[in-house]
Parts: sequence; C-alpha cells; structure tokens
Amino acid sequence: MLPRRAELALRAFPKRFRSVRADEMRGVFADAADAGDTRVFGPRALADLVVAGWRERLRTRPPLRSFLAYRLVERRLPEPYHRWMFDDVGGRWYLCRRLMWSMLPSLTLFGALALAFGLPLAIGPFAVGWGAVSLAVVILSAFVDLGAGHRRRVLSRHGYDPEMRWLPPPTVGSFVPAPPRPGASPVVPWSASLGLALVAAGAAGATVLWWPSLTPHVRFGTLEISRSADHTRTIAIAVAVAAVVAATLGLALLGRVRARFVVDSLPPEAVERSRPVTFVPAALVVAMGMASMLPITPMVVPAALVVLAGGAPPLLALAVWAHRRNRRDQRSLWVVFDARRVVVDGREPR
Amino acid sequence: MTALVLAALADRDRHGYAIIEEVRAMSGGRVSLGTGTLYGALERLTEQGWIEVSNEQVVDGRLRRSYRITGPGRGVLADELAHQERWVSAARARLAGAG
Repeated sequence: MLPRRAELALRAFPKRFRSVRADEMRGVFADAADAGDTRVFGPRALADLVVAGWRERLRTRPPLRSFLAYRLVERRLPEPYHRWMFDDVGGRWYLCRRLMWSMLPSLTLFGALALAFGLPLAIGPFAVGWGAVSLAVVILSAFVDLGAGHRRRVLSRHGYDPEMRWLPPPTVGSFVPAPPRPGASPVVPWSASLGLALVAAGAAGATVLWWPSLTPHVRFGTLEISRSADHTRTIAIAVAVAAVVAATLGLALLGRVRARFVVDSLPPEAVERSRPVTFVPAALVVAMGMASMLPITPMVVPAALVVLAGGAPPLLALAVWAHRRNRRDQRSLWVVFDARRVVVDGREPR
Repeated sequence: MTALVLAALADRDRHGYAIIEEVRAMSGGRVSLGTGTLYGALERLTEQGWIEVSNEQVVDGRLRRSYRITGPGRGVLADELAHQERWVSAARARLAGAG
C-alpha cells in the first residue's frame, strides 16, 4: 500500500496506463522501500511521478486536428488513440467536457452578437435581456443533448459496445448504430443546440418586431428600430432564416438516418428508459423566450412560464403517440423522434 | 534514457526495480531513475517493439514484470552506442590537441 501522496501522484498517469502499470509500479516502490531507499517517497520521486504522468498524457493524446474533429463533429479517432477515447468517455468529468465543447460554438456566436449589439439588450417593457435569453437558450439546449446515450454513441462510432468491447463489422441488412462510414454528414450536438438557439432567436426576433402592443421603438442594444417603419421585410427575413435553419437541421437529421440505416431486420429491442427530461429544458427555454416578450406584468410571468412550459410536453406526447399509432412497419423511420433517437442518442429506433 | 534502459536489459531480463538498480550501477551512482520516468520509458519502448515482457509473476503480493530486449532494440542500442563512441572519440581528439 502506497502512502496517500504517492497514490495521488500516480493519478497523474492516464487511467489506461494505470490500469496496466499501477500494480507493477507499487511493487517497485515497495522493493525500493525494502532496500532502504529513503528517497523513494521523497518530493523529488513524487515530482518525477507527476511529470512522467503528464508527459505520458501528452504523448498519447490525439493530434490537435483529430482532437477537434472528435470533439466538435464527433469524428472517429484513429485507432492508436482509441485507448485515449476510452479514458475520455469513461472519465468522471466527461459530461462536463462534453457540455463545454458543445456550447463553445454557440457561445462564441452569441458572444459576438452580444458584443456587436451591446449588452444589455432589452426586449419589450421588461428588463429581460436579449443576451440573457439567448444565453439561456444556448445553455439549456446544450443540456438537451447530455445523457447516458452519449457514451454509447461515441463508443459505437468507434466500433465498440457500451462495455468497450470491439464490435464485429455490421452486415448488410442489419441496423447499424455505429456510423463508421466516411463522408456521411454528421449532425452533432453543438449544431443541434446552435440550430435550436437560432430557431428560437429567429422566432423571438420576429415576434418582437411584430407584436402590436410593444413600444413604438424596439431597441436591440444600440440599434433602435422604429415601429413606424415597414417591418414586413425584416419579419420575412427573420422567419425565412428560422425556417431555413429548421429545414436544414431537419434534412440533415433525415439524411443522416438515411445514411445509417439498412433496415431489413432489427435486433431485439434493448430496454431503454425514455428521456422525457430531454424535452423539459427545451420547453422551458421556449417558454422563457416567449414570456419575456409578452406584454404582461412581471407578476404574471412565472404563471405564464408554467403554463407555456406545461403545454409543450403534452403536445410532444401527442406527437409520439400519433407516430407510434400510425407506424406500419419497421421502415417507418421518417419521423423526427426516431431520427433524434438514432442521431442524438445513438439508440435503436422504437 | 532509451539507451540506459536498453543497456540495462542487454545482458539479461530484468524487472522494474532491477532496472533502476542496474542503471545506477552502470552510471556509478550518478543516474538514479525515478519510477515514473522508468515506466514512461518502458511503455514507450514496449510500444516501439524494442523491449517486451518476458515474465510476469506475483512475489510477496507484488506484481513483477520482467522485460527483455528484442532484436530491433539491440539494433537501436548498437546504433546509439556507435553514435556515442564517435562523439567521445571526437571530444578526446580535441582535448588531446588542446593539451
């Protein structure tokens, strides 16, 4: 048994390394202690462990390009780095790392927009900042994609099952949860969060410009738009942008499903827990955005939030029910919910 | 570092602590390998195929792996020694010329 400080120093080595070498290294420490080597647990020896551990981490890390492709668009890493991927996916802070990277592009965009227009960006008669709403949209929409399905999907993409065992190559006619096909366009968490944020922003922007009971002047930071002007064109652009984003995302989702599936027979369906929690943040975000723009008194805002947020899940449940009732066979996959299940969660279709 | 570990394994198989002792003995006590440095090097040399695990046993509850140098490892060590010899010869010649 090593002293606690030595065990802590050992943790500088990556997990994959420790799983193979730690017991052997403990044996060396014990041999040295038996031989009367008093320096074995000294500061210099412990510093050597830490430095060597971090050197090993850096040495076995994927190259920057592969790393960014893995993080941002979930590209498969080259095989020499699969052990690094195991450590990443199995790490205690994986979801935190994941969240950070999934928010990065959205935060960058909204940060740039916020700087461009100047904060705070008031909407309507209330002091709910446009930037704050955007940030909430981005953060909560990023949370939408967090869950147990992540690890499974990343492992699957690299050709492993959830227990990190190598999977045989898929055969034609079977469901292919792993997308090892090169060139397929990936729909990735950050693009999903970005898309959701843009759709919400487009819809909110259009509503602000259109809502008749707002003040005569709508202020976007330093940009002031007079309602006396004709906003038909602006509204049309905002709606068109939102529609284009939504359509692009939808097409990308369906295209990805199409690229991934060869559906003749499906393996026995795994028992999976559904994730209603996925939709709750989204519903709250939409509700928050809408409530911030409604011409209602601040006291009514919480009640409106509850009503608006509560209205979304029943609608979603109704959509799911309608889809399942009308599904005729296993080829009936052209529904967004199934697409989302496959694309975002990496699970089999229902 | 690479040459030291390979040299320590050149005559016979050794486990981790024996490699540390051998390096210390070869260098006249001037080089003392840290455990972290040693195992970083062992991992890298194993990946490169210059050494391999020859034996694995548990002694007094301690896991001991012995390592052996491979053919390519011997080649690398020979190249490194030749390089060092050239460098030492050149330095000696300059030192003699200066005297």
